[in-house]
Amino acid sequence: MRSGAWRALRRRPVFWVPVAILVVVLAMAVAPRLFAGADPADCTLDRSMAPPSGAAWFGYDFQGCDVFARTVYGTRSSLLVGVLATALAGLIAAGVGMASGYLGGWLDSVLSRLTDIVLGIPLLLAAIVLLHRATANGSGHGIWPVVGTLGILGWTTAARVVRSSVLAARQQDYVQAARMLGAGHGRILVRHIAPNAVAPAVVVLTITLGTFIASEATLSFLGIGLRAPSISWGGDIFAAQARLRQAWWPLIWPSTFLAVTVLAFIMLGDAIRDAFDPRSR
Amino acid sequence: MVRFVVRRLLQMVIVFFGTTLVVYAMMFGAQGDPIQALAGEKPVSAAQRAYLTEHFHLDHGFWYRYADYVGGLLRGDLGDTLTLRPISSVLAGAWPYTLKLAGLAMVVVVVVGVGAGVLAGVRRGGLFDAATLALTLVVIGVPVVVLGFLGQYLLGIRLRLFPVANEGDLYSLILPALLLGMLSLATTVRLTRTTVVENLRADYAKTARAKGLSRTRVVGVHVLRNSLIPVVTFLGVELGSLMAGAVVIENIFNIPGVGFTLARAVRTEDGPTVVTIVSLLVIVFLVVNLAVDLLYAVLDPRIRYA
Repeated sequence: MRSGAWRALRRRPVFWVPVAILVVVLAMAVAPRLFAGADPADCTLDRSMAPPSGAAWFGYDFQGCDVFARTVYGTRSSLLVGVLATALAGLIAAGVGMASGYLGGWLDSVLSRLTDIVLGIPLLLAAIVLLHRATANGSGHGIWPVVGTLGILGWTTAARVVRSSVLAARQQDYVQAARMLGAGHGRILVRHIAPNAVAPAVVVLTITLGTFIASEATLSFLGIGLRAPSISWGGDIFAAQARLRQAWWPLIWPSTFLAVTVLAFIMLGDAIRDAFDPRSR
Repeated sequence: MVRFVVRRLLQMVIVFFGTTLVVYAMMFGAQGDPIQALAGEKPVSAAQRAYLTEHFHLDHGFWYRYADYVGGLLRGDLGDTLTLRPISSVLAGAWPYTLKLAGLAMVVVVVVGVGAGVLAGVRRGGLFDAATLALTLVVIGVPVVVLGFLGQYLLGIRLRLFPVANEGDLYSLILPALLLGMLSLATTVRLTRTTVVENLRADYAKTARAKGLSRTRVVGVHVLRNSLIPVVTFLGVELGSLMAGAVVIENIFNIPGVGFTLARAVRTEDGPTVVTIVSLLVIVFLVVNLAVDLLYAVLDPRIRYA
């Protein structure tokens, strides 16, 4: 079944196009120097808002910084926030989903209601409240408050998916057989049940990763996400929008990178889901 | 039916208290100095501190304060902003804008989304279908921040088709509403298309056609009514992202609505206003989803709510 899904994936451009994009984005995050020759911190006001030219293909922003360099260097924080927040959300989802699916009973009821409540609060609104508090407490504007906020709020859909996969697997004959052979709860959960939940959880988390990157940009745009000296796409979009009438280039490039990255993650998640679940086609 | 409504209402009460508790605890719970958290990074004088302690009952425990806050909410008393203006009067000026914006966006979503979805579903595999699928994927992937500015720049600044900022009339709300609706629009198109394709294959659709009904009637009456059920559910849930999108869009286009007020409260570190607005938005979200659940019975008589 799994190799069948892989074979279906391998033949589809809908899978390879986002993979190619994400490889480039990842390379940019790891080694921005390879892509941008200019230093993003090298800003001088006398070339403020200089339009795109041979020296700087993407032009300069209001502070006189190279737009291309800033966009490339911004990849790292955006991707890092997305990946770390998704890892946190995945951990919480795995814990909650497996506990409520496998143990059941009152714990399942409590955890399911908790999931309902967190799912009932729109992500961005709750993130505004949480982050506002984190900043007011003086925890700074680094990536960690943003990572924590998104992770704590964004695990619900994945937890539901894990729970239902665990519930379905728990009743299977091979699990009963393993129990009869004397396997403990831990072994059954890890070796026999958890693998069933991996594929559907990966699909949900890939799409979540895309939305997390978009949410980070939105939060930074509202002024409560990452702030200077962190370079982020959302922050740059916010800085550029006030002067949109004078210059479009400081806005277009971070926007394009952001949109393409988010799109790539969502396309990838879509393609994997189609491969694992042919009915949804 | 009555039993279902009662059970659903009880469920909503639990979620309401859970949600307000979570939001309230996020804002005021845990360690730290709540007054400083309220005031943000600004210094607080001793007199201010004493007044705020009294006003927000900070000398009482967390549960007392939460009960006081929820009691106020239920009585319709929204409390005061940090500058001690009643939040209700701040919101009174703001909500008509947001209501108009969200209403227009919903109209766009329903009319264009369901229309395009039905067309794509009926002509499955055709050019229109392929184009819609590709276009919706792009729109789903592009964050609302990007979409908002792109629309503002291209349609507002370049082509000058629409005003780029709010001028108070309905016409200047059309472009923001269009962009706000765009996100939900894409998913609506896809969902409608999928369900229309499924229902066209169903036996009842074949029967209707065999009876000699015209194609328009089969699609427009028989298929459409069944296809709308999942779409309506989706639109209820989608209201949440519509509200979040409104925060961004209102800021881009300078529309003095609820989202704009919320963002300003965030920027001026006005804690009580942030909590109250978010709680209100969540309550609206809950009520709309309750209404959606009850609407099922109208759309699908098979659902009896036993």
